[in-house]
Amino acid sequence: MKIVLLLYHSMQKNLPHICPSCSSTLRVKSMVCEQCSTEVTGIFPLPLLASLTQTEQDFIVAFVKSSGSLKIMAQQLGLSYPTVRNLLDDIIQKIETNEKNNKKTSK
Amino acid sequence: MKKWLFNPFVYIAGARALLTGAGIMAVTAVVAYFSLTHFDGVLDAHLGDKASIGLCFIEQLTNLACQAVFFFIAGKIFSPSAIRFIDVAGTMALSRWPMLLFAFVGFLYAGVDMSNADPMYTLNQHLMLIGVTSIIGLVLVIWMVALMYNAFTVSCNLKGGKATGAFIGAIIVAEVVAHLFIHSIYKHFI
Repeated sequence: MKIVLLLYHSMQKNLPHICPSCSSTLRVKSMVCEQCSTEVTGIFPLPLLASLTQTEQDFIVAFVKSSGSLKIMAQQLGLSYPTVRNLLDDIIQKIETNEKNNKKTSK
Repeated sequence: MKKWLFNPFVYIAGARALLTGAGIMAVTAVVAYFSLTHFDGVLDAHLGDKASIGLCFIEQLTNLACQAVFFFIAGKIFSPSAIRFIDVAGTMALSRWPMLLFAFVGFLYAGVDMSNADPMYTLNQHLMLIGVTSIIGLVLVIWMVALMYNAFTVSCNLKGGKATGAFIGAIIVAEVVAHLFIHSIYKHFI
């Protein structure tokens, strides 16, 4: 089961959110409907959470699923309470930095 | 394995760590009483002086209290996170466990006469023993400091230069206060 999950994760494409050329925040230019091939184009900002890594997104999902209880999360992950809190604080810090960068870019 | 040896606080902290650490410290106090070992400071360990069991327990308690209080204050000042005293106290208690091994080292000195007035004579007579115990002691203290540092960074969510600076400041203050307090009460116990 673990091997299958690892393969799944290794095959998954990561959504890029930073420009490889100038390191600015990327925007969504077009979206397409897989059913009827309708395409919508424009300039859309990426959702805030999309700028996080897959591990960080998984952490947030687990956090919501455990009703925001760090104690429950610590038990589920087999980690200590301060370790889980530190992970959450690091994500909060990253989100705040991304928010600031987004504001600067939109100005 | 490396994680468990140097940073078990990723897996254990809070009340569980405090209970485990306090239990190990109680055993350390009893072993230290029989092996004539003293921990008269957060980073101090000495061999060869007889004292009451009460003093052995007070030494352990003082060291833990000083570590927990001063590292918590440092964390409150420098950490961006909402840190908990129980995490600092628990991880700090557990970080002292190498001193249990040091207390056992004290048995190597059992029956060895160190009372000669000439320190050079004593050194020449027991050069091998003093050398071996010094090296073991140094390794154990370095291990304990590494554990303390990781306990501090995990329980207070500090990294990099800020963590190092705050750690050095807190450990110096904790060492000085614990050392002065323990030596001020020695006369009541010896």
